[in-house]
Amino acid sequence: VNEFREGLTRFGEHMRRVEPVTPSWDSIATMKRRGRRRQRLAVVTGAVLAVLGAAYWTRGRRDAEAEASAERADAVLMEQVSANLSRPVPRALGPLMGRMY
Amino acid sequence: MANTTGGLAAATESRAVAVDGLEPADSLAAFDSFVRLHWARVYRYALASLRDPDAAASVAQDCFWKAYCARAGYRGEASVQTWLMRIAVNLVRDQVRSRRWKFWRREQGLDEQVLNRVMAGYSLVDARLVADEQVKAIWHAAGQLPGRQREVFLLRFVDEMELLEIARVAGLSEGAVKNHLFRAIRNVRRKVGGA
Repeated sequence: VNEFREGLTRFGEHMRRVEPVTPSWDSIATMKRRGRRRQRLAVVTGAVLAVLGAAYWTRGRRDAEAEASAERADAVLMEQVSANLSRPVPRALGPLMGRMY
Repeated sequence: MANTTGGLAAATESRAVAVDGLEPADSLAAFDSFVRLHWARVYRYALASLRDPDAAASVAQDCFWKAYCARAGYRGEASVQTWLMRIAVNLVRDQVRSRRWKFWRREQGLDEQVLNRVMAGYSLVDARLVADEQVKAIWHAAGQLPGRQREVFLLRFVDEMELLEIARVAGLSEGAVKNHLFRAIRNVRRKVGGA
């Protein structure tokens, strides 16, 4: 047990003898401020990209919706046209139709 | 006051100053001596916990930056070392937590590099060889301890803190510290005995 205790004490002594190089506060503060600035820039860039992405997506969606509604209108119109073309010609117009064809 | 605040008093003279990085030069100079006074202790704890010199330096820098930003809030209820070590312990916890996800950044052999640095300066003459082997075994065993046990173990044996101070630093009750320390010592002894 004593040997183990001595080992623990020696372990602590070894660790405490590690002498790190102490940087100046100025260098730490400069680095941290730069980091903070970079972080802010990253946040702003991210926000701008998100807004642009959202605008692009919204615009694309609106275009797609407009295109779809135009297609629907065309389809309805075509249906109406087809319906009118396939309608039987009234009897009174029969002779006129004969002249046409 | 100067004894208990360990140089922070001079650094906190300008309490009215905003802490968002717009401080006068004299405050910077005062904090420089504060950093010089406490850097080694914070760094050593981070190094013993993380076993990565770069991460330890980064944690130490973050610790002083946080201390600087929060210096106006320091009320002197605990010693400045306890206050500072509490910040360091929390930062090490964060680092350990974030490391779990950064599996691609794990470097092999870093643990041995740090151990060699710890052992540097000691001549491995025959009389000390066994003792040094035991230190190495304790180092490896401490590295395998679960989070809280390792924390308490290092604060006790590397920083030579009293149980009450460890409790304050780790945010635990004194009973919990005793419990963690007991388990940590038992685990280390088992591993060292089997080594």
